[in-house]
Amino acid sequence: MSKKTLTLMSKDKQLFNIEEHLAVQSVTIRNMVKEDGASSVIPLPRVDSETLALVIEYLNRQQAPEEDEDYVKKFVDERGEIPTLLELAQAALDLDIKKLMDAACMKVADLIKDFTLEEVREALRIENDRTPEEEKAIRDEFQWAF
Amino acid sequence: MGTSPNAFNCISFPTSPFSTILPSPRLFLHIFPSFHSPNRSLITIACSFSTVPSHSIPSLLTLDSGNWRESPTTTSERRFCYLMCSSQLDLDNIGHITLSDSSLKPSLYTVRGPLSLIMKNYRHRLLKKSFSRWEVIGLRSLKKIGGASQEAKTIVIVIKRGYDKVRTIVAYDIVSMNKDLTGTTASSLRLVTFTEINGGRIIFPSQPQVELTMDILSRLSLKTIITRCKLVCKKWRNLVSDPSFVNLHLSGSPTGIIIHHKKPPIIMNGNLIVHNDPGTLKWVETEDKVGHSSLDLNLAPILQNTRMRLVGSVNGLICLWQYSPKHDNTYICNTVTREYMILPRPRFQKDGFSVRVVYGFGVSSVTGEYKVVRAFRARHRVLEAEEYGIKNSWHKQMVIKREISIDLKWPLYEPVRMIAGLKDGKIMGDDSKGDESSPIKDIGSTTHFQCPLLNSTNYTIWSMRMRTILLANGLWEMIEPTYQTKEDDKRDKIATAYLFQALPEDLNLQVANCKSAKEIWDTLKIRNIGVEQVQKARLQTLRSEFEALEMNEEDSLDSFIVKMTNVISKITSLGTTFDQPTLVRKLLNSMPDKYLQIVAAIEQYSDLDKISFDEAIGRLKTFEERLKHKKSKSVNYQEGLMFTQKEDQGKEKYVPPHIRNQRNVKQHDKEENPLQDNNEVVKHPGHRNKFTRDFSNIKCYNCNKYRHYASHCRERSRRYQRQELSNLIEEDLEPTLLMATIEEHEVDGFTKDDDKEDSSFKRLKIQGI
Repeated sequence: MSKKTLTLMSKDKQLFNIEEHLAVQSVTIRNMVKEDGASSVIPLPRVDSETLALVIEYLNRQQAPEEDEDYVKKFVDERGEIPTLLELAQAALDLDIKKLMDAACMKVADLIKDFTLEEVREALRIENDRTPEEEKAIRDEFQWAF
Repeated sequence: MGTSPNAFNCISFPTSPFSTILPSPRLFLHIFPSFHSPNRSLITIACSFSTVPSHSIPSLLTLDSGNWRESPTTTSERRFCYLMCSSQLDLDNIGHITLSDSSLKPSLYTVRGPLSLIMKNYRHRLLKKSFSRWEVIGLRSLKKIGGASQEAKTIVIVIKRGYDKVRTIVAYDIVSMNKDLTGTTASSLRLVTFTEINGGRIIFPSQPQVELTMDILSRLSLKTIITRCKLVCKKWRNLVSDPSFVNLHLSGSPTGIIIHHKKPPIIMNGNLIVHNDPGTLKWVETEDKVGHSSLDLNLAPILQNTRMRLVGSVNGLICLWQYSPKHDNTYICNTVTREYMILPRPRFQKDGFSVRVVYGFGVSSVTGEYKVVRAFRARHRVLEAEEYGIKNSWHKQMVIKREISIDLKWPLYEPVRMIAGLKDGKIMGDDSKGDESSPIKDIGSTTHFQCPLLNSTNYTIWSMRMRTILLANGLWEMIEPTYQTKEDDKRDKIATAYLFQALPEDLNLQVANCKSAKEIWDTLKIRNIGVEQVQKARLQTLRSEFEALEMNEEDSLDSFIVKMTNVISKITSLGTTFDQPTLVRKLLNSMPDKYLQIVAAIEQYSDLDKISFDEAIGRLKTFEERLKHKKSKSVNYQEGLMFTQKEDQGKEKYVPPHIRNQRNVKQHDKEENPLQDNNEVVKHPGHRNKFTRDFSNIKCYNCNKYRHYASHCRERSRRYQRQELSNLIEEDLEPTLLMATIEEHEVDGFTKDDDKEDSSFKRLKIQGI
């Protein structure tokens, strides 16, 4: 198999090259290659360049299959920032790279598991749209679970 | 057994393979969760035979193309074992059963292929130490698609029971035989039923952002979700309540068990005393690495002071059977959200100990439908079996009741404790492969509604409700076909069954000859609508017709009476009657004016409340005859009047002399001897020439011209001619003016002096010409 190179373009128009046989770990890219041969640049309008660089780093890994699990875990662990992980997970979701997405999501879930409510909101940049009364009502409803 | 089985609901299982395999009727038969091959339409039933309960010989029966075959078992395993649990055959046709000997030591066997029972004994590996009182309470093949791993694993959940306590819960992964799923030691737990939570993953298309959030949240534990995620923001709350999230979470969430523990029955004075206590449900996640996440699913808010049995639990839903003597309800609860539903009441009630109720609860991995199977059995046969499907999602609470086809040669003397096929829904024939030889055919989902019973008065409501029920089941087409409707014998039969269900016995017999549902419906419609709906409308029209009855002048009394009695008899035939006084009053009121005298006479001289309708008719008739007799006279009289009128008109034209004189005096007293002139003129018209006089100095009062009188004025005569013309027309138009009108004319004659004068002058003129 000839080492064909594909070009991916991030949201901010930066171009990344990657060998095709590695790129097709992404189901999305694989489908695109199948359909039109992907002669041109593949635009990824929702992935910024930092994240895409990470994704490509992941795709370029050279691991034996049995160590793959550990590698993904480690790969994700090294980027312990929740915003980065969310971006990564989003990119993995778009590109349909299952293992990466699973790992990223799992990591986020692990991180927020023990967060307090405020921390969760802060970490995921969620605004609290509830009044304290509403919050209390829900707390009361599920009192038995706390 | 309570009521007689309804034909629609009852299922009978006519033949059984056991009669050929095991002729002895004295054997007890234990049938346990059955296998269903996912890629072939085979059903394997693990069963055991014994002469003594709990000491039975394991055997496998497989249904292949309608034939039952017994799988060979090794003789060494044939003694004193009984089946405890079995799992579904997986794609490689591998299933597992656990057997236990009398010392309650479980053994695990692998069943490979539908017909070959290869019993691999995992006994030693499963339980290296010789525990006593170990009990396998669950065996499930789990397919974990969510998460990083995609392997299927079979998990055996084993508990160690103390006298009244659960000591240990261990879940084994059979494939690796790792004891990696050790759960909690729940020292406080008592009697335990179990089940596991897990299921297939269903992926719903959704917004990427939502999908991502969902994915992350689905990896959190149930407790975190309840206590945190619902509070973070509204979006999250909605998210975690979404059925697709629930499914996602179930697919990825750690395996857990729901433990139902309750006080054991006490034996007091030889009587078994069962507490009226629903017990406690506990949710234990066995795979949680961080620590055993245990959640107390408190039943108290839902159920109090009653006896509950945990039928089963799937995907976090639990099925509870409330079986205290007063109650017989089936609950399906989502203990986390505190939602619950009660299934429609079965037709049968648990009645004493002769009938036992057997339950199963599961979910179909193909359709995602939750199903409850409920069967009633007597000692050796199934009396009735029902299946309830909860479709779409828990939240819609849509219950679908199905019958199980009766053409099945179902081998059950005693129904299964839990039909395994139920778990995947395949036993119901909703196998996506649609194999023709699927042993149980799904008749089609018919939603269960309580059919109203037709009686003599409720047809209107009944038909409305039945229509709605049939519409809801998509069966209305059978009764009112659209142009697209195709002949569908099966659906027609279902519709017929619905109708039969809604009819009392006697009516059932009456419509028994009808060949289709439509025919039944039409028969009932004709039969009843005559009594109710159309009749009411007809009654209404007849009533208003009756009210509006009025005899015309020209009508003869006879024809009117016929008309009236016609309406009355129609109304009477519709069940409403009029009393005599009403009829008499109506009759008298509708008489025309010419009967006024007799009507008044009757009203005054007889008691209207006592006079009969016929009597009133008789009196009126007499009067009518009189009236006919007098008719000619009365006509003459009228003509006379008219004649008089004409005469008077004519006379008017011949103005009486004295009147004329008076007028002439009035008008002409300033002229020279006008009276005399006029008199002369009238009296002696022939001698006009004698009165020649000089007109040159005479000025007309009318036109102020000389040489003629005003009476001779041409202007005037022209004017008069016009009036005369109009008078004539008036006369033509009103030839039958009555006396009163004539008098008015006369009055006119007196008051309108000018006209009268003119007419007289005109006459003079004419005569003069």
